[in-house]
Amino acid sequence: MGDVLVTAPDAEHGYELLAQAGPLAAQVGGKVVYAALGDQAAQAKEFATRGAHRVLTCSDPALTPYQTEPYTEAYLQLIEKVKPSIVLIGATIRSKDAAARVATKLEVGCGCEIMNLRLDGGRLTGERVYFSGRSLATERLLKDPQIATVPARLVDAPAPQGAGGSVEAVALKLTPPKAKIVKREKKESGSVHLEDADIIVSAGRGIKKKEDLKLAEDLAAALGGQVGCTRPIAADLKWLGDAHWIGLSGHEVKPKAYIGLGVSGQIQHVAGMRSSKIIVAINKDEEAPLVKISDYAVVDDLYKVVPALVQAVKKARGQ
Amino acid sequence: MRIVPLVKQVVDVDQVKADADGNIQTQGVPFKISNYDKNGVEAAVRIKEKNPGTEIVALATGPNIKEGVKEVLAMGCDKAFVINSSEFKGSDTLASSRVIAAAIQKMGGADLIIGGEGSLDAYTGFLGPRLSMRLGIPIVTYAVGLEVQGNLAKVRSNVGGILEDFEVPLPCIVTVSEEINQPRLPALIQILQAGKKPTQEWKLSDVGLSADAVGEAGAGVKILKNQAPKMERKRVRIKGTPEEAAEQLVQALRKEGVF
Repeated sequence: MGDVLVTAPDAEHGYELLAQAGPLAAQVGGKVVYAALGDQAAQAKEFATRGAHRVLTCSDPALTPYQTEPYTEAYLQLIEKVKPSIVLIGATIRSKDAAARVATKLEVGCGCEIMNLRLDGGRLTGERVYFSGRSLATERLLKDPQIATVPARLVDAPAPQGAGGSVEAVALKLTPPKAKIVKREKKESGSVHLEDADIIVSAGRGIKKKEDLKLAEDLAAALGGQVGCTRPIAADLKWLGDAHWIGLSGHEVKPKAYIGLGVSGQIQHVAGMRSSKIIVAINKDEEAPLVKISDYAVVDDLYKVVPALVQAVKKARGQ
Repeated sequence: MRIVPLVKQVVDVDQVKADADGNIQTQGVPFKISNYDKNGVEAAVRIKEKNPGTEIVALATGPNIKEGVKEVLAMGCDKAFVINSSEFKGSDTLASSRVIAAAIQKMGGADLIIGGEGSLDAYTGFLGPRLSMRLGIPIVTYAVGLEVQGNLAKVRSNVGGILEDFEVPLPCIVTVSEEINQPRLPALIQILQAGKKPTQEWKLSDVGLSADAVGEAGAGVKILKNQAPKMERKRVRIKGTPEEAAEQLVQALRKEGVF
């Protein structure tokens, strides 16, 4: 017995978690309670009509932008108030810190980016990526409350429905964080918006030099898609900006088709694209993890395959 | 100032294989220092280069860590405390954070604890945040820049296209991303000297923990199985010349309704 407390730093992510929380709450015989914190407090009704029986709001300015210390306090106080048996937190690289800290204070486990959430043997259970994408671990939460962080874009967000649940403002006692943000700067993303792309052609380290990114650009152009990339291409080599970076620290995407060019499939990257409808790998290494999680794989030299593919796509589309 | 890099020795994930039933086998797979932890050691050594008088004390765990720790000693750590991880096998981060926190207290604390953003094997990124809670000190994760000025750590962190610059009073914990630096390759002389640097091995009892605080008894998460991903994916291998493969791929994408 107990409620399912749900919260996420991003509203869309929160809707997706509500879809996953509903069946869990029904099984444990509890309610779905959503915590709409910071900017989300103003759109509480959006959560109430997407599956939350009860929405708790707090618009304390200490909650914007997301910082680990105040959110640790907020989550702990919400757990104290709701006394949930399950807590689902939308996984981002910051919220994972707060989730782990909350779990430590409560001396319980914390599920890391759990997929396929379910109750098994009465306990919260699910899968997570392990060994840099080479395996999937099935994990079970052993202690109450059962806390799990959950990735974005695993499921579709539910459409709003009916009058929805109740909304209630709560006061949280938040102290100023010791780790102070002295500067916060959004990097320019230009016209690239990977989250909206139906087709993404992703460049990995199999692309040997910056000029060869043209292969990815040509294929994306022929398909009417956008160019994404892995962490080394964006972060280490800086051949492309962060707007193109797919992965845990970059953008999480769910296109109709993801085509990886020389992408090995390291865990951080796969975390950002595993929900793509179709995954295509073009890579000469057949042991590459991405080849093993692909729908279609061409195990060959991308420098030969991609130009042929561009021609074939153009022909097929009558270009 | 005392800097404590956290170092974890893991199985080389590139060499793990699934058996016929799909279960991941790690037996006989060689060990290596988790790569992000080397970025952490490098960050510590660079801070020491700018701040004379700094002491770098590695806290290292792993199945064969007495040997493995020499690599980070050669990179520039002054000494090391090691705990063989077979003592807390089956631990999740709830349990392993008890071990690391107790060891840090036993060594008399640290001004700056540096970890990797995650470990190569499990990659939760939870150990740093859990330690910060146990030790009651602030944390910044996924650092791409780190300096110490006086009593402040200045940390730059990249959060998916947003750069955040932090000022954090010491003592604190910082976990680093691989973009922060290129870990040095020690010279032969440093490798030879590493074996002579003080290394002390602790048992769980040395840090005041009993067996039921760690391992499966102390864990909050249990791994039921660890298997090669079973494919809901189609796993079609397209063969032929590049032109033939391209043609087949276009047909497949059409059939899938991609275009």
